[in-house]
Amino acid sequence: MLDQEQIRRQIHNKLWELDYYAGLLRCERCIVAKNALFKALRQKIAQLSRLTAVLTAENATGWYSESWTIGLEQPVFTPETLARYNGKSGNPAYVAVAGIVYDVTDIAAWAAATHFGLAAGQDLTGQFQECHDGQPVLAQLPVVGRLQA
Amino acid sequence: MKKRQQVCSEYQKKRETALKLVSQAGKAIQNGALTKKNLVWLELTGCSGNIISLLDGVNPGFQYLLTRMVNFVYDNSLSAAENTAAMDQLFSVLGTDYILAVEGAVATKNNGRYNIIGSVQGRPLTALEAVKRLGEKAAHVIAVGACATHGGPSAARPNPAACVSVQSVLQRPVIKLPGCPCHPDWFLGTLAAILLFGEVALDRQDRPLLFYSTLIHDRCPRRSFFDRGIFAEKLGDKTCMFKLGCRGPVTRTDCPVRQWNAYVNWPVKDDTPCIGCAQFGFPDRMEPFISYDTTRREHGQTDHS
Repeated sequence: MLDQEQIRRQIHNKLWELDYYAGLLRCERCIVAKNALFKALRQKIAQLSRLTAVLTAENATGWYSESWTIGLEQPVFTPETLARYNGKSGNPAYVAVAGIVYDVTDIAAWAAATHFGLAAGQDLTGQFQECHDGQPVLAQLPVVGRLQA
Repeated sequence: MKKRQQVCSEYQKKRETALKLVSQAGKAIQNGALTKKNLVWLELTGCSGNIISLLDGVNPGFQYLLTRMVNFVYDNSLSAAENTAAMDQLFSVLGTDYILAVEGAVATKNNGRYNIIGSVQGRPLTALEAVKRLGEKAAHVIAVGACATHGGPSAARPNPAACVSVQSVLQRPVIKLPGCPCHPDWFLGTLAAILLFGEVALDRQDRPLLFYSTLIHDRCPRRSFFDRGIFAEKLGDKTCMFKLGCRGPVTRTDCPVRQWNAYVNWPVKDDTPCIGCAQFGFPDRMEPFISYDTTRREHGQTDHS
């Protein structure tokens, strides 16, 4: 168990890391690297929230979750806005399955934002069910929002 | 003085898998433990690239197959016999213990009349009829190359001859060796395993595990660049070609280890992305083969949104 002094030191270090990542994010021009830094920032914030929670109450989990779960703050995509995220012209590659939008920009099987003849920027629920139904594929993909019903 | 190429001992062992099986089969035939089987190689709708690839094999070469492993009864390109004599030679295997290797897809339009491979008693012999007659009676059928295993380039859009895979016209198990072309080791190793053990271990898509068990991506010498997010921006760059459209992450073969042309090179080593030629659905479902318009933002570009 960490004592309060150790927790304060860790919080201090996390704040420095956050500042450093924010600086990198401001300078970075590549959208892919920006996404990676953004994810790292969210992880650091989650760690920080857990540490501050421990200071005030034992076994607290913190107010911030690093997992990209669907919530009010998650963007809602229409088919038209989803179509912009087709992995071209520097845009990330997103696909929708069963109402949830996933980021496949850095997924190995989605080279050039295409996968077995399918292109990103679309609702691929039917195609997914034909090939991967029952497979734990989606759990490995980052969630970025939900598709408008 | 030419510098000798250093090869990892594990890679060296893996490269010798086909050689070991072939040598073992050759010895077993020589000492009488096995008898030679007949081999028929049909070339259907395709480019004959697989027989050319087989002729380019070196370890062992085609000569070893011809003289030590099987009675090579027939092949369209290599047959010295012509016309009726060639057809008689082809169908002489019926009633014997033979293995059928097929390269090329089966043209089915107009009852197969888009591909006539000979004539029997003055009647045109379609590829469709030949593969059905010979395929149903063979001890083993091996589909060699992309076209035979799943249609390949011959069945690509718009597929005017309605080409299909060998499996589509045969009601029996078919061993599948996808690749455009098939590596000579993949065929010779599979054939040797069949001769020695009567069967070869296959995956769910009927590919020999011996050669098709590992993703190219998992053995790619540029994998560390992918893991660190360092991507090639153009052909010739020495980093991961994922953003350009490399299909290594969805293609299962031992290309990075075995390599081609007497084990000296393979596409990624020569700075071109894997185009997934050994994946089912090639070429239509593996396109685009190269893309410069990607998730990577070019300098000066603005966001759509």
